[in-house]
Amino acid sequence: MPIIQIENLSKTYEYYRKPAGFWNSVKSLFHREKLFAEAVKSINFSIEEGELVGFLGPNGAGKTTTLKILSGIIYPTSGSAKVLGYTPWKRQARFQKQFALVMGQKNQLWWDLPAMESFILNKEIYEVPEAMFKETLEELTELLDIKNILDVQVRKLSLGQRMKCELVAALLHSPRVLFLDEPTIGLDVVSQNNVREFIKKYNRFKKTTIILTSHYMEDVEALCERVIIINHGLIVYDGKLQKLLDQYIDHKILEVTFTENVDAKTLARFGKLKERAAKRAVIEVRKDKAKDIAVQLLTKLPVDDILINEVGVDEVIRKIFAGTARL
Amino acid sequence: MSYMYLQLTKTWLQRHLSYRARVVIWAVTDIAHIIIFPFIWLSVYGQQQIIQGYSRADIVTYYIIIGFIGLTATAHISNVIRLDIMEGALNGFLTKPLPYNIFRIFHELSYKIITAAIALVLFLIVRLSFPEYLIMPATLTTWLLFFLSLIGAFAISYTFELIIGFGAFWFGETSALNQFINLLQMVFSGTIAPLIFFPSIIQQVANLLPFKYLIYFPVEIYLNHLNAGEIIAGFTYQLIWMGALALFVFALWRRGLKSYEGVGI
Amino acid sequence: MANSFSYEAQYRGDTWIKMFFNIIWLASMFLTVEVVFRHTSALAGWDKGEIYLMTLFWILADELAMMIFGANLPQLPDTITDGKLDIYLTKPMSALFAISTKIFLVRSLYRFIMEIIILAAVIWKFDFAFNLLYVFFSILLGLAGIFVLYSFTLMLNTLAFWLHRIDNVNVAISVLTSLGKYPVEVLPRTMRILAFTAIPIAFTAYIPVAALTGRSSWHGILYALVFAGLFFWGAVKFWNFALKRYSSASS
Repeated sequence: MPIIQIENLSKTYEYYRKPAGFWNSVKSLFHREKLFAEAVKSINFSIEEGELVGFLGPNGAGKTTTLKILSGIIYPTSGSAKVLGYTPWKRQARFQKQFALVMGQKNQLWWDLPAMESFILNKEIYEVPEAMFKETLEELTELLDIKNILDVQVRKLSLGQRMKCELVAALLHSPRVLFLDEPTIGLDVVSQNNVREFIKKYNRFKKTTIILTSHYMEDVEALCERVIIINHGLIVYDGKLQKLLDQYIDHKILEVTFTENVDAKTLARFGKLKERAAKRAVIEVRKDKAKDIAVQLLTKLPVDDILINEVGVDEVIRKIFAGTARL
Repeated sequence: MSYMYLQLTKTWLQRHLSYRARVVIWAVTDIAHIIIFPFIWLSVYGQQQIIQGYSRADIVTYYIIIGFIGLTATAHISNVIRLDIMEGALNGFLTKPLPYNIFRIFHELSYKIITAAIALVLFLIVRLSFPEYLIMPATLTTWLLFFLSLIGAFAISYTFELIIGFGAFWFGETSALNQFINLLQMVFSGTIAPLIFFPSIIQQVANLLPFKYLIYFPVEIYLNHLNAGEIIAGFTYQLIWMGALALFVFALWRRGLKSYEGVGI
Repeated sequence: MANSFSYEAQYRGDTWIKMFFNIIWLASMFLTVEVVFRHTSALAGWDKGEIYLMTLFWILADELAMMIFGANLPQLPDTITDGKLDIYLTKPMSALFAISTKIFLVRSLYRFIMEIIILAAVIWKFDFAFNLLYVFFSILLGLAGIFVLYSFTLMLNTLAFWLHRIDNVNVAISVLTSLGKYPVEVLPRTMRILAFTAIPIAFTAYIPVAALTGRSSWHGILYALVFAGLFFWGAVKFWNFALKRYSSASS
């Protein structure tokens, strides 16, 4: 029995067109055009307990809308969704006590009080028994290394510290499902890494089902075995990340530096020329031919250094978003 | 479950007290908007002792009690709610097992605990400094009825704040609605002057609106200007208005959530 | 200016309603005057026409203030708390001027014109005949009153550098200054002195109209002008002082 199940889920927003400019503003005082935006178009997927899934998609793709529906914030226009067997938008307390939502851009802690106060209040809201609360708090604050900042007002903490506290606050009631919306956004590299490590460990030990949305490919690569890519309200890919890479990366990148100038025409014989500077070139070649072409370059041209690089995940994703990848 | 309410109150009190300046400013505001009127009327009275049933002490007490009601039974939560809706902070509340409206009621009530304390202190200071201008009810019954009417006044005030706040579900900026209701309140609640000082057409409109039960009705009870029949009728109207407004606000909330987009996540 | 107009029209329902509500707001102020004068023929020596003048002068001053800095200064506490002040500090223009005049409220301009027309109607109805010299001084003092209002608002909002979440100070300012619609003679001595000094509510309407109706003495007018100048200078100095101690709130 999947822990999350979505069937033919759709969400259409109504909005008004607000054209810019002086005369249009005057006109809009009298009449506005009502438009519809199909944010999510009849999507389907299911997620088993313990999975760590990444939701990917450009802004406006529908991934945030899907997340909001799954957490009960908004109502769908049609279709069904079940999380832990509950319909999210009914917002039943029994359901809410079993999941948590952490938003990277929106802070849920009490801004003017120490983080500890938010934790204590959450303990009461989620009815966490005292002993379990102490244990979980100890565990989480140890893992995230924030024991010494619990008595500091949240507004005085750094972004990284704040996010760690947000995570603790969300996990005190040991939720079975965790929704993470852009958890590493705006964080420095060290904090991003810490948060990633934590999420990975947490998922592994607690078997918490985690859905993560992110714009950072490092998040996706580090954490998600499975990705669901949403674009224009439709799911364009749902499956293992590695399979996606294997399937759609059919080339490698050769980065070559030369001891003398080589003209573009010569270089183009070896593969697709992506970049060219005085003594440097970047050539895209087919994956299976990469080694052979590298050898050819070394023997036929005055090569100083050569690198064989993998294509980045974001390149693939970008192509999918742009609709140029063949799916 | 009860631990949660206790903890919620404690947390809110801590939070309010961490913003002492803000609390003081609100208290000053609640008092300031009526402070000049007693002086205006005393000037108008001149040599007269009574105008339309109000003695000089009556009219000054009138405004002091309005100040008291402002601090103890007036809600201010509409802007907070508007911001929650506009900036998407509402999202966090919708996912938690603590209902948003309970959270905000405790926000307001815990704030009232603090301002009521301020009100009591100020009341005592005024009573000790100008006893001839602050009338005190003669019987315990009057006090009891007065406090009862304050509960109703608070309920109506809070409901209006919800109506204005929930307006944000449809209108981005609710300041016009806010100002309009405040305006109606100023005139028809008796805040500017006792309703009986107004032309009868205004009094008739005031009788049809709920604002009278925010200020005028409680003060009239306090000043012992009402007979038993008028008191019973007043409470009945107060209850009817509380019920009607509560139903309306409940409907607004439900419709608002349906159209809520959760922007800001 | 065009941007300001677009900013207004964005909230469509609101714009029409706001214009309508403004009329009701004005009506409520006139109603107050009427209610008072139902029970007397003069308020501290001022007759009804003169009180209407005072109310209108107050409305016009309030409207001018709203037009120029009314939408801007109240944003100051939030700008400071959110650490957004930095943007202004990097621009060549004086940060204070930029912040104060960021949005020009076009709807205030329309209301101002309407209110001037009402003022003209009141002058005509109550058959006022003004001495030109007095008119000149009352306008001068009216402008001085705007400077006082600005300075008062600025000073209190500058406190946001030290005190947190005091954006509601603007509600307090609005309420306090609204007391300036009435003749300060009704107030007891201590409060009257406050009205001319620390809580300067007398400058927006009372002093200009006192000059207009020939109630002012030379030293009264001089005091008002000097006070306005000093008060403004003090507010700007305070602002600069606060700015120096400013540190970004972002992490």
